[in-house]
Amino acid sequence: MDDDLRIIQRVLDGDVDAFRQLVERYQAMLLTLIGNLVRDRNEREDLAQDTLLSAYVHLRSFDPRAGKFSTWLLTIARNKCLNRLKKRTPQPMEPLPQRTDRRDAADALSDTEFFVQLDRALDTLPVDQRMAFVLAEIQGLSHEQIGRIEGTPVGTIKSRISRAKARLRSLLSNTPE
Amino acid sequence: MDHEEQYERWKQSRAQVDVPDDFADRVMTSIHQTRQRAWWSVLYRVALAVGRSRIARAAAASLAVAVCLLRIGSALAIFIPR
Repeated sequence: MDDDLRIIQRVLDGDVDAFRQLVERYQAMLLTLIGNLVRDRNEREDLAQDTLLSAYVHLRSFDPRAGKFSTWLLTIARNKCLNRLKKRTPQPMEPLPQRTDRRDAADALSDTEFFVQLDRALDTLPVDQRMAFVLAEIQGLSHEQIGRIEGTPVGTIKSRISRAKARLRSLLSNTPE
Repeated sequence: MDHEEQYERWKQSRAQVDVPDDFADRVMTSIHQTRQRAWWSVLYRVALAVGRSRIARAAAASLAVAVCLLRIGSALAIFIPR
């Protein structure tokens, strides 16, 4: 955190290239979040690049008292993803695959097939639930951090995560073991 | 969850992301381009503002004449004996 602040100060003092350190430090985090919300690879990279560019342009408005730099970056990325998802033509929600034929153990799903089903289930979640789930379960952020990113009370975040998990669980309960 | 282990592996797979080697370069290039554009945009806006106002145009012309006269004066000053 302190290191981030030192780099930010250098950038604000005119050392533009110091920003590269922040890019290298947070690029994976951003691409992970965006990649779990937007599947297209090019679009994902564009959004991550756009997020970092916005962060650079508005760096002066970053207030370290309000939270970590990483939280601020994720907030920008979240807003950009939401804007992008709103602009898209709404896709019909694909129904979750129902598997009722519980056969023997030899039919157990392979990781690949299982992962595809979970990916599909994740895509069908409402955006607010998907965002909270990804930030908490995949990126390991605390509920408080997610609340700051979403601008939402922690209770609401917890409820979104639990609804998302319930939906994924409903998929898993319909798959053979 | 019955598939707890698979679920955990799935979460790990979703957390792993390929960062293109040139990603940071691309970001830095776009930052430098934005800075350049911002600089030209400031110059352009100043030029537009000057062009719109009669007073600003007169001030810019007066400044140009003053600079010109100053340059001529400094050139002629070489020939003035001290």
